[in-house]
Parts: sequence; structure tokens; C-alpha cells
Amino acid sequence: MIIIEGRITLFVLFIIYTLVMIAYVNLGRQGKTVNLRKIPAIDAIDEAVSRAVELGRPVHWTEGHPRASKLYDARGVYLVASLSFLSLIARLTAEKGARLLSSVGHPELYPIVKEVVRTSYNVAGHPEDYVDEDIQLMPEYSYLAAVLGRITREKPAAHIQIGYFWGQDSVAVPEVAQGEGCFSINGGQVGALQYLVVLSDYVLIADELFAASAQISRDPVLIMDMAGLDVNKAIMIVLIIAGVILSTLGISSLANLINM
Amino acid sequence: MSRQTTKVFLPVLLVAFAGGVILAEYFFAPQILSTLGSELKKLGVLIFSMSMIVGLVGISINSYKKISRRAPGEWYLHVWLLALLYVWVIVGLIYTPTHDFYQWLFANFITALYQAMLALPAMSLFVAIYRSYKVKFELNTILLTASFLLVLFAGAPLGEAIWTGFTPIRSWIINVPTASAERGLIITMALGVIGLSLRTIFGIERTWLGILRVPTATEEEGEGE
Repeated sequence: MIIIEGRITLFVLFIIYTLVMIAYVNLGRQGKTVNLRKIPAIDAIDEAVSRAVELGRPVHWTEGHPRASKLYDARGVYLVASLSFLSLIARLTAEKGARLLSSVGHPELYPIVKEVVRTSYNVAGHPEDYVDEDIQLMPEYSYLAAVLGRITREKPAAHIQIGYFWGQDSVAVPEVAQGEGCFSINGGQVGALQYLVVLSDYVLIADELFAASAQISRDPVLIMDMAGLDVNKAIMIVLIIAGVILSTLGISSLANLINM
Repeated sequence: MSRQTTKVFLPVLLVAFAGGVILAEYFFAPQILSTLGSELKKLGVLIFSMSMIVGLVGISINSYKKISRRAPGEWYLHVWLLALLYVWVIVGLIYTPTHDFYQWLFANFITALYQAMLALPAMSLFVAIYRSYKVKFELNTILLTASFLLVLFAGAPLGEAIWTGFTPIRSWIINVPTASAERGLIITMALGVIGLSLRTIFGIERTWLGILRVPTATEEEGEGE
């Protein structure tokens, strides 16, 4: 058997997911597009940066505790999503003239963050405003103390925390940022949402975290990819409802099929 | 090599290769895929270890710059940081991290300080609870208060003494509405994760490289019309 046993149905579902995505991306390449629901938290980033300019204070970004995730494990995708946001934030701070403080928890992300910020400043036409010192690595054990200390000392006008968090950084960091009067926009995995909802001005819920580039760029390819994602969601909902009904009736054929 | 090749093409190609192999390793049985996948994962750990050195150099340069220009309010913190950082590096190099002295230092400094830091979120959690009661929407306040009181009474012996029904209600809240809402979020999140991963593997998503196309003013006007 070429496909590992127990993963056949999963593979078929993955192929369906990929085919739907490819079909929608191709529609996007042909110039077709749909209306994308506005995500308030993404729109609020512009407001946050403008606020920082008005107050003459910096914008602070962080991606979470280095032990909560690694770029090379399954949770690394949250860090990739966080980099998309950083790209937007850096672009806006460069254009509007605000200072950007990046507190990087992950050593493997440190050179990438520098490159993303530098590229964004170059693209915005303000390479001279890029300050290498403002991107700081906050190593493992000192992450919480270092980030809290930096927020308290620098008093940023806006705090943007997007990534994968532990209980400590999903509670203490936004809480201290709120205490310092920061305008907070946060987003993380499901386990961190209950804290972030309470401690933020705007929260990115569920897959909103992964839709940033589509909303910002309004690129038809990315927008149609989001539409494809909704179609895949509909397929999943149908499967779940069918599963619930069949299981309630005592028919286990769908459950057996999924486990194939 | 052109700048476009090194900054965009090569990273996208590397991600596509590594992502493709790891995906194939998950679904397909041939030994070569699992060997390749395992080698790639080892490479990931190796790159991570090398990034520690990059981090060490980065911290040293940043701190040196701040110390040399006497950055107000923080230059002395960087002196302290550098001193401790290099003491640890030197001790680690001389004794190795498995040595008793290194272990003693670790247990008596790092662990103790870390535990102290971990106490902080507990305090923050109390403030967070207080903030949650200041939410503007009235229905939210009612729901929060009701669930808070239920969970509180169901968890305390006093609650059980007042009414035995608190515990089953709490279990129902946790196992039915909370679990179903959480599962809905997890499924949506998982689909989003797959979507972003595939976009990254196929090279559609490039914002992680700092490449973010923002519509021009003319395009925005066109959309407005």
C-alpha cells in the first residue's frame, strides 16, 4: 500500500481541499473576484499606527513565547501568519513615520523578522528609517520579563501581538500593554482567545488570522483562495452534520470511512 | 544571482520542497520519504541551533550599541544583560551544561527567577477578570457573571452545600456549549492553517518574505467607484 493505512480518507479530503483551492486560485488568475468581508482587526492596524504617530510613541509587535511554538513545527504557521502582519505593520510605520519595536521570541525568526522589516521599509521608500536596534531578540527564559520591561519603558501607543501563545504571554503581555494605555490588536490560537478577547481592543478570531494578506493586498488570487477556503468549510460542515445524524441513528459507516 | 532570485525565488523553492516532502511523508509509506522527512526535520533543528548563535551576536551588537551611546533608561540594563549572558556562555563552555556547577546555577538562578515570572500571569488573570466585568454590552456582563458564579459555586464546597445542582450545570456548560464552540473554532482554525500552509508551499503567499502588495491610490479609487 502506497498510502499509509488510516490516512486514505484524509488524503482524499486533502486532495479535494487542494483541488478546490487550485480551482479558485485559477479563477482569481483570470481576474474573477468576490467581495471579501472586512475584518475590523486588520483595518484597525492602520488606526493603531496613525495613533502612534499622533502620540509620538512607538508601535510594538511580538509573536509569542519561543517555547510555545517553533517555526519548524506544526504551530509554525501561526508565526508565518504573524510575519504577514508584521509586513503590513512595518509598511505602515515606514509610510507614516512611526517607530516600530519588534520583540522577537524565536531565535530562528530573528533574521527573518529583520529581513521582513528591512524589505518593508525599502518597499515603502524609507530605507533610512529602518533601525536595526529596534528589533530585539527576547530569549526563552527571559521572554516575559524582557517584553514586559520593554512595554513599560518604551510605552508604545499600539501593541500588536499575533502568533501562538502560552497562558503567561496571552495574559500578562496584553494586560501590561493595556495598563500602559496601548491600543491592542491581538490574535492567536483557540486556547489563547479567551484571554485575548478580554484584554484587546480588537481580536482576530479563528481563520481571520490567516486572511490578512488577502484583505490588505486585495489581490484576486488571494481573495479567491479565501473563497475556496469557504467552500472547503462548507464541505466540512456537510460532513460534520452527516456524521452527527448518522451517529445518532447508530450508523457508523461514515466514521469507519473517515478512519480508513 | 539576481536579487529577485535570492530574495524571492530561492526561499519559495526551498519552502515548496521542504513542505512538499513533509506532506508526502505524512501520507505515503515509501521509506525514502520518511528518511528524507526525518533528515529535513533534523536540518530544522540544526538551523534552529545555528540561529541561537545569530541571536547571540544580534543581542551583543544591539546591547553594545545601546551601551556605547548611553541609551537613556536602559544602557545599564544592557550592561547587566551582556555580563550575565557571557557568564552563562563561558560557564557552559568550560563545564558543559551537564556539569553539577552548571546545573546548580540553573536550578538556583534561572528556575527560581522563571518561577517568579510565572506568578505574574496569575495576578494579570485577576485584573483580566476585573476587566471582563467592565465590558460595555450588558448581555455579556450577565452571561459572564452567571458562568463565573456557577463555576465558582460548583468548585467550592460551599456551593455543593447550598445546592447539589451546581456541579451538573457546570459540567454541562463546559462539555456542551463551551466544547462545541471551541470545536467550531478549532475546525475553522485548522482549515485556515492548511490554507496558509498550502498558499506558502505553492508560493502564492509571500508576505512572510516582506513582500506585500498594497493597492495604489488609483486602484482604491477604482474600487470605490
